[in-house]
Amino acid sequence: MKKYSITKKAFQMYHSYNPKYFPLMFVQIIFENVSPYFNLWLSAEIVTALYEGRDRGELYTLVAVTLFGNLFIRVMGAATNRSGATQLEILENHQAAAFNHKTLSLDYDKIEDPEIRQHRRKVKENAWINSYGVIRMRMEVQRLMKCLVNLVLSMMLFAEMISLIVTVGFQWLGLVLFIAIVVCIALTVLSQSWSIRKITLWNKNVADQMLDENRIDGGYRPDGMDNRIYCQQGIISKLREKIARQHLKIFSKTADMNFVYGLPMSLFSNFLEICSFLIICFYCTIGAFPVGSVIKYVGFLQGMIQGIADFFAALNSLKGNEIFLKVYLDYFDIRNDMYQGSLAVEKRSDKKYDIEFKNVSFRYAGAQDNALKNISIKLKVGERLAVVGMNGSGKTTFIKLLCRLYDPTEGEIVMNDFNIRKYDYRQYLDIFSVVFQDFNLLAVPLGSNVASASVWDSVKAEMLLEKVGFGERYAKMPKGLDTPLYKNFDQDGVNISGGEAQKIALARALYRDTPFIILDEPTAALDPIAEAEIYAKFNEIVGDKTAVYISHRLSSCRFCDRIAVFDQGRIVQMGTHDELLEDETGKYHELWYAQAQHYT
Amino acid sequence: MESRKEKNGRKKYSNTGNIIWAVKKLWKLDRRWILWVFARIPLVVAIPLVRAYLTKVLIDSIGMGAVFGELCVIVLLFTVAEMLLEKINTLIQLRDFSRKYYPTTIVQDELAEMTDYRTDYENTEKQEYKKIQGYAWRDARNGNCSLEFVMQDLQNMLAQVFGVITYASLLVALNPAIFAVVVAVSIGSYYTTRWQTVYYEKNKHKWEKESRKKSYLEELSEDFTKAKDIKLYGLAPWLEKMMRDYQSYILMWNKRCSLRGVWASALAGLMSLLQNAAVYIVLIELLLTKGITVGEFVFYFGLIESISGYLQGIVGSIAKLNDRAEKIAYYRELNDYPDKFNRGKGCELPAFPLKIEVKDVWYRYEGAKNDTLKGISFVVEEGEKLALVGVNGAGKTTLIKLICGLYTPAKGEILIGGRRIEEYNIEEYYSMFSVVFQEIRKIAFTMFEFVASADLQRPNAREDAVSAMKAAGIYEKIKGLEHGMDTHLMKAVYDDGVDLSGGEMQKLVLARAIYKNGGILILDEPTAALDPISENRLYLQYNELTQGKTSIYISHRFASTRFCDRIILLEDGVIKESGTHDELMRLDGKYAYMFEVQSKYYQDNEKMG
Repeated sequence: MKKYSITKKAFQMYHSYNPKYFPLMFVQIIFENVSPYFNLWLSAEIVTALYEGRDRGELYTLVAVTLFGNLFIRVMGAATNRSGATQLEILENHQAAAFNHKTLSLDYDKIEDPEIRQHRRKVKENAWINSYGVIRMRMEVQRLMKCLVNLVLSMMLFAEMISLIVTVGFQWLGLVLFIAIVVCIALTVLSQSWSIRKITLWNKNVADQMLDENRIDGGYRPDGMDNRIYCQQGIISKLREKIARQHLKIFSKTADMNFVYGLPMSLFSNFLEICSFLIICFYCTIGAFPVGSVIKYVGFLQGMIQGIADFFAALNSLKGNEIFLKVYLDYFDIRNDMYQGSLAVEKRSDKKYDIEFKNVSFRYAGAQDNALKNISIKLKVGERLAVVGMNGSGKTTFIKLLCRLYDPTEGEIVMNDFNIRKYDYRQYLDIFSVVFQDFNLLAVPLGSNVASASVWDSVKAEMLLEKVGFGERYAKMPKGLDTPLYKNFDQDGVNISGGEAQKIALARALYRDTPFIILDEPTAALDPIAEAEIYAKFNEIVGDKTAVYISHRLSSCRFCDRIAVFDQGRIVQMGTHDELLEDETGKYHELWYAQAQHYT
Repeated sequence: MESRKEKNGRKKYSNTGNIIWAVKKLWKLDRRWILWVFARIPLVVAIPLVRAYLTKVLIDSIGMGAVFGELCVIVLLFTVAEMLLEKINTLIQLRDFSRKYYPTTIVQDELAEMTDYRTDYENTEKQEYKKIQGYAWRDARNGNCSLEFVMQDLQNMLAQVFGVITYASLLVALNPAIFAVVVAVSIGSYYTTRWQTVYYEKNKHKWEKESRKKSYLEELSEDFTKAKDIKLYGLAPWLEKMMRDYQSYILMWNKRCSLRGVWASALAGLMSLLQNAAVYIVLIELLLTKGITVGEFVFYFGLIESISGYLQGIVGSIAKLNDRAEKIAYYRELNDYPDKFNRGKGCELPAFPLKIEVKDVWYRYEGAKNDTLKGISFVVEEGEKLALVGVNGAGKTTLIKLICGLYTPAKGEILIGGRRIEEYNIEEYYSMFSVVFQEIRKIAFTMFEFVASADLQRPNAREDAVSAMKAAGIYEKIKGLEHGMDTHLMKAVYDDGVDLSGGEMQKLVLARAIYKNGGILILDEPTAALDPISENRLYLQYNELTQGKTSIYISHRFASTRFCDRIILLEDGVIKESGTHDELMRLDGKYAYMFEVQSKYYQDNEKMG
């Protein structure tokens, strides 16, 4: 692979988020860096003028040039700095938005994939520890610009110095010192690039070791009640202590590394300084340099060496950053492999969508066994299908396949004669409303939650909330549909209980008015009365939709037309409640009586 | 320094006091580090001085026609001295840097522990506490934790003060008026910067909310547990649009604030122009009339520039330290947040089984308009099995939290084993309880740790954990895992971890309660996510589980009440009915109604609609 090709690709992408930023940055860097040279040059002039005893007029002219020049540079610097900051914010906003967009547009199986989650975490961690990735790239590109400006300016002074030397000719001592300077420059640059290589390598190592730290954030936030009753703190504190010690060790080591690897460079740089003082002294004593040179030429040589060293450091760092950039770019390259058809899902007022599972099997990525085994079932339009079974029997997986969060590993799912893969994905999803067992509401206004949008039809939303039994609580909402849920988004949000959330989630599903409605344990958190209300109104709520109802409360099977009994990934029984109950050796019989016996 | 003003009359902390508190705390944490931090101060001031002297001496020597050999000696003498100082400085700095983020890590851990464990649980639900905790947490997490970086700022300020004193003492020969100018300009430039920051501080609340919402949206799109809803309900475009709107709103404000920065910078530039003009005039006139050398001219000019830099640094540092101090106050406030429960020595724990006496207990949630519990009184006798039923929001869970010592009653009292909760040491008190809460929070423990966290040191911990898992019906599943009960929960955190389903988690939580074997067993909706078979299993072994314990069972599934000795029905925060199942059915009240409503679907002969 070509050198810096990853950086190039990433830079083009990054630059395109806001093409104004980098040119503006360059102007800003010029203003920021010209000031020390300007001052070196003018102070040297003033010193020389004083030394040579020029008159006041000439002296004060120089002073005035210095003062106003500085003011101008400063104001221009501040102005470009401000626009630069604005443009950077725009760039970063677009960058963040693009990254988010990528995440949101991933297929569900990708979003859930631990490897991809890990990948995303890596990107974030890299940015967090030592700002590797695009941030590092931006900083290093800026550093390169800065080096360029510095080198051009210091070369100008260097050229001036050489021209002064040439007029008197190199003396042998001068020549020796000059060669020593060139050698010192070379050695400083070399040793710096060596140290940066080493340190980058070490930092990558550190980043890997710091993973544990993020475990704490991701996995060790206990519930306050659990922690107090079950003393989870003991285990957490022990782990934290371990990590803190590890942390200390890593950073001590890092500090040592920085010192050891930085030592050669700092020594060479010291030699360079000595040599440059000496060469200036030498040429001053023979009268080739004016006295002001003591200020001017020492300063600029330091600047130049810094420029060269920084230049290589930046290149090195860019190269070291490539592995991190690759992680970043690769994230954008994650391809959705779910086939996305283009067939339009016909809008049918009769809601006649026939869906059939044909010998469908499914295995989760990385799992040993199939979660679903050879499932064949046809959903009849307008029917209420109950899905029952033990924990882990594949009920929820069945639902996820039905609404194409996953594609079957084997077999196919067909809707109106076509494999569901052939339909436009979004349009296909839009015929389903699902209330998952672990549904999530957002911390936005109630109305937004119900309508899944920032605007809502108040009449419809209120009617639905009433219908699902949320009416009484709704009346207590301080701002009606505008009341934000939860506190994390808005201070004046309201907290709701699990049962209330379940009702809102149900209203949200109904608001979409889709041909299919799928309810996964929709009454688990409800009290018997609220549950009975939902049961009683079930037909009214569902209307002419096709409904799939998953529940451990088998009472719900009584108002469903058909019951599919899942056991270990298979459908073991199918039929009406009465039919299934007749088979006394069947699973359904076992499940039913396990529950019903307590109510007689 | 100004003192922090509290609107609600809570304890006030002075800024100086906060900084002293922080230094003391850090001193306890790491004495050497503090010493290293202060040891660098003289070096930081001395190093530039050596360089300034070198330039001065060189210019003057060249002016006096020194030969090259002499100059060589001067250069070597000074540069070697400078080198030595510099290396010492680097070495000390290295010791300093090696401690980087260690204090931050400790502070973060302490903060988490405080909220998750140390303070009263009730505190952590208070708006006020959450607010302070939120500020402290944000400060600790932004990579610039005030409780660590205050040392850096303190170091800077002390170096600046020391620098001003040192440099000024070298300038006694000079016109004192020049000091006045430098001081005035420093103060002036402080105010110009302040003019900008004040505007920022005054307005920042205007986009605080948007910032928060923006980060919420960012987290949301990355939270894979929410991905299902986002996908199916097509929320992505809407979320993205909201995100863009917040971004541009924040950008607008940042632009407004930074415009002020440009003006402030121009103004400061103008002032520094005036200052330098004055310095030049004074020095040039001194040189022309009083005959200071060119070398001295350069030296003095450099010193004044440094002093001016230091002075501006000092005002900046004071502002920064004030800011730090205000943030440190959040940590102190949390540290001093009052607890209602006893964290000192408590009375001796009574022998099991325990009696629970609830006497006229009232409770109202913060900010709520109505009482959740309105004068509840009842007794659970030693070894009794009590069922607690009622509609959602009747106050069942609140009552449980009160009994567990997670909340304190607004009025009334609760006695366990004849003693008030406050008489016990609260941590010892908790040890008497085995509770299954309604909501389940996963934590990346191993299964064993999860189940046994309450008592890891028990001699037969692993055997006990196995039997608890067996009793809860989860052992088969765990045995089948590659690492058995040493498998971590949460695949997102540990690559070889597993994510248990809702039902499995519920069983694990039950196993934890069984393992702990507390004298009071409380189960709050322990079967909501369980299939009928597992649910039935729990009912059947309930008698065995509660052997020798006092127990409270909350459930919406009325089948469970049949296994309890007595049922209490809560409604609107008061006890409506109380008695055995048969008694309450005969009463034909609310309980009977709720039971009917639920059981009718299970009656075979009835036709369902």
